[in-house]
Amino acid sequence: MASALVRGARRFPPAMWGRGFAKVASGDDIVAAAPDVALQKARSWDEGVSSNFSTTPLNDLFQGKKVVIFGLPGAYTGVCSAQHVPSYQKNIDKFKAKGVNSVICVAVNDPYSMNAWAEKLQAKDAIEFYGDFDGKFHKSLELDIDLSAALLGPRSHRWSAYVEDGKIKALNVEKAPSEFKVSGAEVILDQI
Amino acid sequence: MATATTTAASFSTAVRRLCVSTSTSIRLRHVTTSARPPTRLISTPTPHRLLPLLRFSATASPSSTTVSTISVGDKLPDATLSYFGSDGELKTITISDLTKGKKTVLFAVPGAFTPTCSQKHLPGFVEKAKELKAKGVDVIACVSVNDAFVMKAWKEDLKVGDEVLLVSDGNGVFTKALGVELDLSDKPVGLGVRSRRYSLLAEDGVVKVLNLEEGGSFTNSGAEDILKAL
Repeated sequence: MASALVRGARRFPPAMWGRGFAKVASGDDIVAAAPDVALQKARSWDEGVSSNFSTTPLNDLFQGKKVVIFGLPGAYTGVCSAQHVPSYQKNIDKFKAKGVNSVICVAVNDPYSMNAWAEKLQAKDAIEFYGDFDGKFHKSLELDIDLSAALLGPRSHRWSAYVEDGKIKALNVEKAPSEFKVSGAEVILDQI
Repeated sequence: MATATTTAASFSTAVRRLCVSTSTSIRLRHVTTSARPPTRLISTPTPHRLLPLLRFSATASPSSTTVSTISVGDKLPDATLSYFGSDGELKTITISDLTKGKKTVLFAVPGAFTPTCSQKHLPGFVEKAKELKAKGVDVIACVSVNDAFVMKAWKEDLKVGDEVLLVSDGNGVFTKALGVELDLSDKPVGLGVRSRRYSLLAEDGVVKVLNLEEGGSFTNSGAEDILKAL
């Protein structure tokens, strides 16, 4: 069934069905593209309670800052854990040297799973993790993808962006969430 | 059933694509489960919306008369769940596999890595697993609307062995079919639609004992309550 669809899809050139783009592009304002959207900082439940489960509006994350942000399909999954996050972890000093204020990782996961994952990867000191638990952020940017067939539900594409004071300066979206060609740290370092 | 085989095949293909670098990407259809009895209407009792956040770590709270969709005497609807085997491979399993011809204890938690689930509910079943098995229970499984990757990480985090199977109802299909959805989308906790907390004993797929909580409270869905009923 689905495998037949895949076999059929292979006959079409990637440009026809592959996603290498999003609703926003270089030059767009990321906050304006996703109004009324807030993300949830990765945290333990207790931290959530004590902060009254506060959410972080996009404005706070991007206004007046140089931000490198990358999104991935899911915490604890293969490429995400083994390649994507480590690539940013390794290059954090290079990002700081280029004046980047924060490196943010976002995924359609709840903030508790994100937190546990970030701690497992020991990446919390280098990267800020946020959960787009209802997928609104990614939906607004049209970077969402339905991975229900993999029993993951609505998730996000694998992507990275460099945002300066809310304006997107560079945006890289993988054609397939399993790929890791354009959304790594090295690529975006060159684009800053 | 042919559907189940195709489902399993398409699922593993989809996941392999996600985990291994390939050049194909496609919007795959939603996994369909095999035919099952007509799903009942999902009832979302009013109390959920009014549930204070404290409910999640609340202790005693009298369970009021809640309209539950699944009830004692019902046959569990079939659905496909996922989990990571001990070999690290992502696998699917159906409710039918878990319950046909067996005595099965199924319990659900609103979310992995959340307090009551992590500190009381799951550990309680791990502790009592031997006793439950001694009383004839064949399978003990924990279900949550989390993906299999998170369930695996949670299992390792809590050092759970093979005594309790942690399975993912990733798309909430099974939870929806039971009518036990817990919609927390409007709450700032960041959990979206999850499952109410419950525990049940099924014999050959028919519910014999059901302890369904309101939301995430933890009053009668623990291991001891199931033990008492055996």
